[in-house]
Amino acid sequence: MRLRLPFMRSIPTAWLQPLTIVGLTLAGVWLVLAVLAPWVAPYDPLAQDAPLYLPPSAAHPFGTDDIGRDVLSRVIWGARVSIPLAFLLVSLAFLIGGTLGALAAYLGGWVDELVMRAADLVFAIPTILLAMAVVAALGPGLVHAVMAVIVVSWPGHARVVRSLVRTTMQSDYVAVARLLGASAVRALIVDVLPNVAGPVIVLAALDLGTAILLLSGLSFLGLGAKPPAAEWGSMVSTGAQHFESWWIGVFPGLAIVSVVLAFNFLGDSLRDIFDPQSVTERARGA
Amino acid sequence: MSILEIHDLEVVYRGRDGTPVRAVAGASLAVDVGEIVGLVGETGCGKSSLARAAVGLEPAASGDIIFDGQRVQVLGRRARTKRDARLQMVFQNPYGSLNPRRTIGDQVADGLRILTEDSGGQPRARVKELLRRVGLSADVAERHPHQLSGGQRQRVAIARALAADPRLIVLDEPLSALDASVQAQVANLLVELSRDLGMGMLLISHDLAIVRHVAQRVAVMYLGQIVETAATRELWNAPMHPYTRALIDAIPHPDGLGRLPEALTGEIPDPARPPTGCRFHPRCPYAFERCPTDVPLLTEIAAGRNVSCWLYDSAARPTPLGAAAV
Amino acid sequence: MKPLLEVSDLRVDIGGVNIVDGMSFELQAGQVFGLAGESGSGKTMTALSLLGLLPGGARTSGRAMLDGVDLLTLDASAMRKVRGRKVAMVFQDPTSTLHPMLSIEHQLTEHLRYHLGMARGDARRRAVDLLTQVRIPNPDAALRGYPHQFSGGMRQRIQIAMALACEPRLLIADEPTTALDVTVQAGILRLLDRLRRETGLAVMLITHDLGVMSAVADRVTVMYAGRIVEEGPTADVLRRARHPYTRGLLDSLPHPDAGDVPLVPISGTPPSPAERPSGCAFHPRCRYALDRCRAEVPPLIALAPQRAMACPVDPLVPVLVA
Repeated sequence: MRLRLPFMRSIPTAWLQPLTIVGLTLAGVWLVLAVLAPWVAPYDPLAQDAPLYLPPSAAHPFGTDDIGRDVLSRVIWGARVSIPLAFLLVSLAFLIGGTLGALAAYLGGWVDELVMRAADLVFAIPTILLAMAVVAALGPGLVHAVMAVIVVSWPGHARVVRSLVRTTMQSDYVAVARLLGASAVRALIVDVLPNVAGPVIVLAALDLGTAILLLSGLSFLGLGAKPPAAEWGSMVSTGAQHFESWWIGVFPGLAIVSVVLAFNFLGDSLRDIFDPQSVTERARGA
Repeated sequence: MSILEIHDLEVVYRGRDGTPVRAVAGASLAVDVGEIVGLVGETGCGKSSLARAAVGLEPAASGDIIFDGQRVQVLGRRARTKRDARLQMVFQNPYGSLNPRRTIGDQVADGLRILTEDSGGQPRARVKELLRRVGLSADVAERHPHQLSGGQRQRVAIARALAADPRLIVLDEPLSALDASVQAQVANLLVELSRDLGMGMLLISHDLAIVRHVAQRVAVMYLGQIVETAATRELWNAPMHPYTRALIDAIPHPDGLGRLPEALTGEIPDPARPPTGCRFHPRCPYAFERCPTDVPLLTEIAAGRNVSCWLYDSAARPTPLGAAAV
Repeated sequence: MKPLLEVSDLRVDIGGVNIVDGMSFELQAGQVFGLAGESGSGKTMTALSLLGLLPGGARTSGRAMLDGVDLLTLDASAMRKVRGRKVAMVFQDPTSTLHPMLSIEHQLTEHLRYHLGMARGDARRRAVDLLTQVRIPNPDAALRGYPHQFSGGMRQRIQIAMALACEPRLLIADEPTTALDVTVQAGILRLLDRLRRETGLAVMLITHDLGVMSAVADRVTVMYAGRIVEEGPTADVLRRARHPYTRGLLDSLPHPDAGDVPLVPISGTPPSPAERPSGCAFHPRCRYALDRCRAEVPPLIALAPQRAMACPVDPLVPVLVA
């Protein structure tokens, strides 16, 4: 399904797929909300002045929760918590995991073994359980929850980066670069990393969604954000205890879903963009 | 005057179950300055391993590789020396030997860095000159590999090698992945470059027919060893080793005469378990008692003519191949 | 003699791009029909269209009559009865066409039991016969083996044996020897020649290698950019090529008898289906090109019965023929 509008001619085709537009729009909206929350939210997220358990109405479009706080404002402020944390989280996981993976591939030998076995250890344990265990060991709280998610996320990045670096290091074009006088480090930077960057960025984008899910999940279990903070996961947890007042849990839940979807769509679109060969092959009709 | 000399080269790698496999089992050959030598052989003969070891991409288990009077260093973490960099290589697969993410111009300029050690504006002119030299237009420098055809990419690969001002280029099956009508173009380019630049070439190919039009001398390889070397014309007119004979007889000619090419009995043996004595003996129509027991050495029978076959050992069998078939 | 296969005006379009542009040819029983061309010529798609193996989204038109049935109009279940039974195909790379996890016996007898309803014992005996026919040593032991245990040449023989299992009338071989060493190729070519002489099998041999054509094909049809540019008996086409492309191709091939003469290449490269030039698709590379070559598609001119080419210029005598 391809839309053709005049102003679109100057934008590369890959950006114009419906899913990309949806993803970009959603993510854009949330980012704006997160930044402008203090001015956009109708009420103070911590204020408990409103009547309790009010269903959605004109004054409170998302209703009020069990202690009289406006759900809409809390949902908007929740973005300020989850989204920046997710970005921070993924960046750190990527930096740590990516560096370890690249070192493992480049140095090989015992370094490789060490990194891979550590990664295997993490993979062996179900993600949420391991995250819970880390938080339990460190003590509940958002900071510790973030650390826990980094611990369970870095191996994924490490593996991907290691695999990519290894394959590209064995390619003919790296051999040629070496033969032409490039040192191994230079070949790594000039020839290997650009080829690694694409898939890694895609993985990072997709990981944003997972990070948000994990963070919300931990908070839902009471291991992350502490009350009265406006965080989606803990809001859903409250909502689960007050099922008849469905708006308390459903709206934060929808927020989580829409953000995760947005990042997933973005990740998929990035994959299309960063793979020039497949794009031109489609154009050529081969 | 040899620019490249390979003596008794052995290249070993670990097979699937860990057993050592001698991909190259004692091969010797030499390339003179400005000469094109063709190395011909079929699957499993070890020619690619020989090529990679010759330029230092892989370590040799034993034997010597001498380029321009000095031993070739195996590629480690450090950058290659300027001297070694005058020994270059062009690979078989035009789709894998160029980095998909960098422009052509960038990649061709790589070799200039060693010689001039500057990355200013100067390289751009030289890059365009190199591209023109290999028959491409200068604007190709701005493009990316996926925008070029196989033949064009192979030309870029050659330009890249030329940027380092090589004295010898090893080409591993540079023509096999190209269309028939494009093969001739690139083959002619190679001859031209060698002649104009006084550059030696070791051209590795399974296609004996096209090597004939490009190389001045040919070496034939079978299961890790060189079995015959000769000037191209002589190799074709009077092949001495039975395997060379078989290779030549197996080529179908597009002459419309409907002749079926001769097939060679048997299969290429597993390089991990080569036959005893002469490695070719199980498939050789002329094999006799000595062949399974003793390994023949590559010996000079006449000027520039080397064969490793007991048929030519005067002590064992006085008559050469042509005079008396078994 | 009534031809075994009659193809009229075959056109194949994939994703809106024309791949095969009006192919017409006939194939006789017991004949080796060679289809020659380089990349972008449409030769493989021509073959795939006959067996309903084109990629999804392909559109075909024209007719392909085999035994009074138009192959292009068959539905999936009718086509399944034709494939393997009346028309079989072998491909270039036997590594990807043989199932790596099934034994040779299983793969060989599968067709026999599906198409012919043979019992297991009979099918096994026939499988041994087939392997013997294609000269696989120790057929009994070979049946118990798996593809990875055989060399490239052996796998190709096994592929041929599989194709012949149900005694098809026509065998389509798409670049059957391109991936093989020259000595192994010689063996396969001899095998194909012997099979067709012994069983009256018709073979459609698709390859870019004119040497292979010369060795086994009775007729050669040269394709360029989706159309036939020259066709006729192999000896005539190769020794007295008339179309500039065929001539150019022959001049660019290493000719062992030509001595040390440098190769004369054709300038430029074969066009991809999406980028075909107007008029005669070969005109940008043709040294005899005239203005009309850019404007009109040259029709196929009959030079003699069973001999035709599509070019107004006769390169042997540089004079307009039509």
